Amino acid sequence: MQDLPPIGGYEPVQWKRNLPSRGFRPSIYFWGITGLMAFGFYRYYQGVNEQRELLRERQWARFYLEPLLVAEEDRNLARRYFSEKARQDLVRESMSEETKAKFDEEIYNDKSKLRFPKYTAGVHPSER
Amino acid sequence: MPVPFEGLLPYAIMTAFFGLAGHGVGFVRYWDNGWKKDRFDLDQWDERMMNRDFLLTGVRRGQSSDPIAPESFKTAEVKLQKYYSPYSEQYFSFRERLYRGYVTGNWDFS
Amino acid sequence: MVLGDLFTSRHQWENVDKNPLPSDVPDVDEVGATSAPLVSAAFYIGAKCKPYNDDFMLCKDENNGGSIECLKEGRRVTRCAIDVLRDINKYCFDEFKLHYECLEQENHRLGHCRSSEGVLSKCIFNNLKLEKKIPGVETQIHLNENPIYQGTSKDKKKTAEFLRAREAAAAAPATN
Repeated sequence: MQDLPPIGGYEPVQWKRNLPSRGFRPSIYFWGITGLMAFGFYRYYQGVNEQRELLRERQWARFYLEPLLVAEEDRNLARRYFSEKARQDLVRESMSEETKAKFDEEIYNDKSKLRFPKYTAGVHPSER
Repeated sequence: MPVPFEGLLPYAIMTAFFGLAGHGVGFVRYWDNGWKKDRFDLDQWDERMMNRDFLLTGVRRGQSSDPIAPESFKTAEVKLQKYYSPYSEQYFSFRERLYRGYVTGNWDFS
Repeated sequence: MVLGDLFTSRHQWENVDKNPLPSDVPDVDEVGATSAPLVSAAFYIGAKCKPYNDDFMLCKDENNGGSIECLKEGRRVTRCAIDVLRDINKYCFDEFKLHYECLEQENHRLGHCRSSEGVLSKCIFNNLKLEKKIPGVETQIHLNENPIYQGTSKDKKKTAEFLRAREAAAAAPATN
């Protein structure tokens, strides 16, 4: 014995859920997000350009100040240089001949540079 | 579901004390800078300029717009220099100093 | 030897030299403005002192960085800068102060002090006929109307206050 379909056939099966579709069309989301991101990138690169120009401004401010500060530094360096020369002359006055000859030897072959002595002989300053 | 206020008390205390610590340190720094904000992101140029400012005004973060510097500024520069010693880059604790001094008879580690 | 010397700074000393320049080198006043005023005035110094600055830098270049050889050019540079600073102090002292105090608060970022800079540049253009110009660009960043990075509104507020005080001061004698 076998079941047969009911008379008049089965009722139609509801295979589709009957929910209202939410939100906008998908294309609106797509283009919306694309547009938002494009705007973001646009602003970002504007900001990059602006940062570069701000850096350039700072650089030029420093370029304009540099001669003035270098001149100041040079005067200071020259002051110390001449003062060191004077000190050396003062020391030479009370030197024996052979010591003088030893000090007169050139240390460097390259005469093109101004060499300021970095280390000076003597006792620790706190013990003077 | 409402949270009983006793559950939030620890957070309130934490917020209050962290806030107090942070703002307190911030205030002290601001005051210490002469009522100015901290400098940050300093490069060599900035460091040198700040040293120069110190020599000119005698105060950290001091500023002046005088066109002419005081006479003392010309000779105000101080160079911190190092001299050679075989013991530079080395640290001797007090105990080591005593020990080495007694054993070697040389007390000078400068 | 001091006790503190035992543990720190044992191998360094302060190199101080109080001797002035020898008398055969002419004396010149040093620039007394500190960093913030200098940054504020840099473009005006650059605009006014360009020939002296270029001369000095060329001299340095030719003499292998000659510190001794270029003392004369250096004195000219310093004298010119002092002149500009003196003029700014004379004609635009308040605007100058407003701008460099803002710079000092804003970590010397010029982009964060545009309002006070506008007031200063206007005053300097009216009195000294000097203009801030960044070379080699078609858009001058300091003339940008609505920049992205403009910092806090503190400078704007202070500048507005300054302008209001100035207007009040200008209006007061008229009413009396």
